[in-house]
Amino acid sequence: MFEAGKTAAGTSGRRLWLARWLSGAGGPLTARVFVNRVWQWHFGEGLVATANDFGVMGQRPSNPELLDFLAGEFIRSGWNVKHLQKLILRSNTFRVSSEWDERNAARDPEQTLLWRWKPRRLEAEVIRDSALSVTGSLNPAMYGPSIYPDLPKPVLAQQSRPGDNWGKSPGSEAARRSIYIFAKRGLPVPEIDLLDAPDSTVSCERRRVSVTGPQALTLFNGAFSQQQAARLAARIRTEGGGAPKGQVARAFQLVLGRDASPRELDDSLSFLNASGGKLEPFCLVLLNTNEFFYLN
Amino acid sequence: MSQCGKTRREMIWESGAGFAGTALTYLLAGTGFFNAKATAATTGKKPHFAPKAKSCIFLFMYGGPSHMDTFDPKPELVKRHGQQMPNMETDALLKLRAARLGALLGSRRKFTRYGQSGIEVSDFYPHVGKCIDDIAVIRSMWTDSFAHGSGLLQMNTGFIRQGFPSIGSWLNYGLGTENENLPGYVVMLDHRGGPISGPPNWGSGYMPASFQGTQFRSSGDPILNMEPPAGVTAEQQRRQLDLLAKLGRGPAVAGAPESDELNARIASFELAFRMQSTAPEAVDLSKENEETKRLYGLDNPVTAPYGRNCLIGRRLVERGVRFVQLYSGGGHGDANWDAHRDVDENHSEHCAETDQPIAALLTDLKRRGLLDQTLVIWGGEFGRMPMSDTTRVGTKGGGRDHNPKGFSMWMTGGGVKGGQVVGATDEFGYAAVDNRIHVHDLHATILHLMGLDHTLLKYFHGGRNMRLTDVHGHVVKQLLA
Repeated sequence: MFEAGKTAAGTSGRRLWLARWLSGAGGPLTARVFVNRVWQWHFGEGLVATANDFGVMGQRPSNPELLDFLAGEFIRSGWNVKHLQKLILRSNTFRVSSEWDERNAARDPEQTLLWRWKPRRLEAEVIRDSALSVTGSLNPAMYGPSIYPDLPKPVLAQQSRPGDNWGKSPGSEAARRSIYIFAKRGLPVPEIDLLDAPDSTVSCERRRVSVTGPQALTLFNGAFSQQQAARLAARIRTEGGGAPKGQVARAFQLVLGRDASPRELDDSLSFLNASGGKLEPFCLVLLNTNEFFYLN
Repeated sequence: MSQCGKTRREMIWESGAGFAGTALTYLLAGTGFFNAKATAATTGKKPHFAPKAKSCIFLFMYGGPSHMDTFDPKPELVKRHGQQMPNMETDALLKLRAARLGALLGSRRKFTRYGQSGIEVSDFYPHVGKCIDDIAVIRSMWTDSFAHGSGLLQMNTGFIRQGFPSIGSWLNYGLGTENENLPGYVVMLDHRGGPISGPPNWGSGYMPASFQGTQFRSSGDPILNMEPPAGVTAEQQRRQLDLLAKLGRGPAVAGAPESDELNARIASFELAFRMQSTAPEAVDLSKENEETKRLYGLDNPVTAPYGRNCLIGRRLVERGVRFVQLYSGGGHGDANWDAHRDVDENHSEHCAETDQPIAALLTDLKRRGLLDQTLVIWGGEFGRMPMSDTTRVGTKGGGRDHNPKGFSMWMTGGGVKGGQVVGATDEFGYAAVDNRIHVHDLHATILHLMGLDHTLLKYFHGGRNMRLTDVHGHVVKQLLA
């Protein structure tokens, strides 16, 4: 099956052969699979919902013409990913609002034709990174060795050798992006694992979203959440002026990227009042809102 | 059951009324991958046929107990003690492990016939022996792997590799929960540590995280991060939840498909708040009377740790937890049942720790009328070899290596025909020869007793419908009452 022969580098050239086959003789399937996956990353669901399976066991595309158009554009542009991204991100479909419309809903209840944006929860890693970012503690340094977030004792106790092969990341190292978290197969990090990060040993076609009690316990009481709430409180204390009103307004801007409505402002201020003026409990609530967890 | 003959769950399920109702349905359905309606339809949350058992307690003897020293007496092995195993040159597994396998090692245990059925149990398990008429002893188990890590994974998930949902995940996926205030799948570890392979043993694999086992601890916080940090009062948390309900619901749009999921997220914080009282209550043994505590051996430091877990296990199934797994043994070496060095020494310790508590669990379940609806399973990831293990440092020749080709497990409770022996190993106890029962068959039988057909309980992943039993497994009819 593989063409024999030697490359200039003296290797057998099998990888080059595979690349050529995938991009040429393999037909447009490779391009379709790739653009579908990019589409899934942006919209939460691919034009073919079974992104790992375009075969007989997979689902039919919801919009075959669009899939072919994108695949064609991708090939014509010389497999230019940036071109593909621009095409999708500049489209009306990507920019459509999540507003609900009964008439459209009656005709297309599953929103297959994407007449509105389907809100969806962010991935576990993105939620952690977003929290670090809005509280001002994210360390954006790229590359380098993996990081080891602090794990509570009961989590380490699940190992046959508790704490084995789990290092310690000093200071701001632990606040790097989640992609740098050391992936130890037998020791999932609760903040990530409870929010449906996939098992690292199997292929994950698409993330699942589950909602559980233990998840909420960790999001409310866990050390990471508590720490981020404290950081956010410190930040709005300095950036929001001396008065609670300005601090609440700043928190809304940082966490939700918008102004608080008069009613939200009222609710927040009376909460602060009842909590003896402490900002941390308020920040913890704001960091757990659906609006923060969902791409709207 | 309520007055109208429906469980509370069915009522909520079918009412579909209002927003709290749908949010709760969503939580119970336990997955956000499908919308709530599709979940109800896809996972059924109804058994395929009338279940015999509602809950299951799996007593996991991590490390691999020796069947020849517990539930599978081998007089021929005792007679030929010190001789060579006859098929050392021809058997593939024995050839592979030849370097560490010495002469035949007869058991030094005394076996006694118990009960009406007269089934023999060794002096390691006298208390369990007295319950034998309720127990079906399987003497012909076999599994694919002779390594702990993959053996554990297979006993728990059906596969020797990581990444697959465990039995408890499948049961909760197939049957849903009976108590929305507690996790449906609870794991309690040995005080000495976790097993090899760790959390993937109770992971949900490719299923959503809602189906994974939740670790409960018998002291301190039962669930991870259950208690609010120091200084945060219940009133404060109540206020936070109220504020979250006001600020946190958005961007929910009435009628939009995602609104169930968004409401469920807010409801999950209320659920978490309730768990802060339901979980400690479930593990709080102070209300148990002295007789019960003594029954489980809580007055004896040897039996107390596993006894406490067994008693908590009973309390959990009473409260509707679907699947409870109680590990005996943790960490490495003699901290679990891995008796390479000396079976008598190792098993004396682990049997003494578990015998009375396990018998107490069976007795207690029975007198409360719960044994009929609770399936109890005893066993490890594999058994042990009939010859001595010669390689372990400090051994005097009384240890045994791993044996996946033949070992014993037992079942009792809901739907199980007790007082019988199923299958047999050869005269040395090396390999299952009669009515051989693979782990897949055990899994098929567990699902059957819980009202599920193992060939119909499927989850679409990686381009095909996956099953706990993959493409294998037969229900062992002989085990059924």
